[in-house]
Amino acid sequence: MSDPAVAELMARTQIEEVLYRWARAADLRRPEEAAAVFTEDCTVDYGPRFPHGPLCGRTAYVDYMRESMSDTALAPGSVSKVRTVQCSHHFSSVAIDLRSPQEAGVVSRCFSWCQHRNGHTRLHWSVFLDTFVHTDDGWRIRMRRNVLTHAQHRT
Amino acid sequence: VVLMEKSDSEILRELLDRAQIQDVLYTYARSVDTNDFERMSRCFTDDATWDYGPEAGPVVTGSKAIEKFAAKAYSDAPVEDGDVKIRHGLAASHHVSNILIQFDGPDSARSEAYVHTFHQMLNDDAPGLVWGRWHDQFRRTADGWKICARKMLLAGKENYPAIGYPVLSG
Repeated sequence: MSDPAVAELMARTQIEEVLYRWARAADLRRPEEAAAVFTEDCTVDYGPRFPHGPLCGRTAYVDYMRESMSDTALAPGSVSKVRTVQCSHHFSSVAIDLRSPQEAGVVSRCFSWCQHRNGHTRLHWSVFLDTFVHTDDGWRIRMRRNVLTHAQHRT
Repeated sequence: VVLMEKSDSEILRELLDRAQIQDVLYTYARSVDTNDFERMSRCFTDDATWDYGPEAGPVVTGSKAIEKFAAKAYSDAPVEDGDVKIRHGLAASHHVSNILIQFDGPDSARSEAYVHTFHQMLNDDAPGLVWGRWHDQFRRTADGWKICARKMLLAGKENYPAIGYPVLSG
């Protein structure tokens, strides 16, 4: 590969695939597979919904995902404040700013449907602000900030 | 996408194939939403299979049969035995996203796409909403990429008859 335009097209395709692989893994309830799209030293920030602050590191992210998918009771020490049984994260409007061949800023919209263990379902409209870096394993997310635009209880 | 060892022309060819496959998925959605089932049928090979799950009706084989099946599903014709069991309603909007494509060879590919659909249901003011996945197999033909097998999987739904197989989890 020698043409920079070809390299950029390839990077854009690969970055989009990372977003979709994350959604697929999260929705198939595979915490390790979902976490694999992040760097080892990642930061994942869900904002004020997370009283414990941002998740730091892939291990913390896996623990959070496992807890959210578990049937454990919510407690003061719980990192995840929900218990889900089924989700569907639909991405769109993926804007990619390739700052260099090694780093990209990516802003995307996500419309998601989630069913909680208590039987309730919710819709979320949110924005994902991601910093991607190119690693030996391909593009990975080093920093993720999720901003909730609106949540709606359905049932 | 594993393209690092490929030449520029090989990479561009694969990216073009990806764009063309995505276009087929979008054309399918646009065709259904505009009730153009003849154009929808051209997204499929002559021997394509369409499997929306046992609650939707039998597995349909062949692009022409798929055209008839879909046209009936979006009509107010009465449901008959061994027929399509769903009447979608008066208007629909299919939103396709999260498209993952894997090539099995130069002329065959598999895709997984998310689809969120809105249906204005017959005799019901509340809209039908579906969150699901299309698992498609594609084949390159003389007329371009076409779907040769489609299976619908369901994540969630509201005010909508059962359709699709449940999304596997775990």
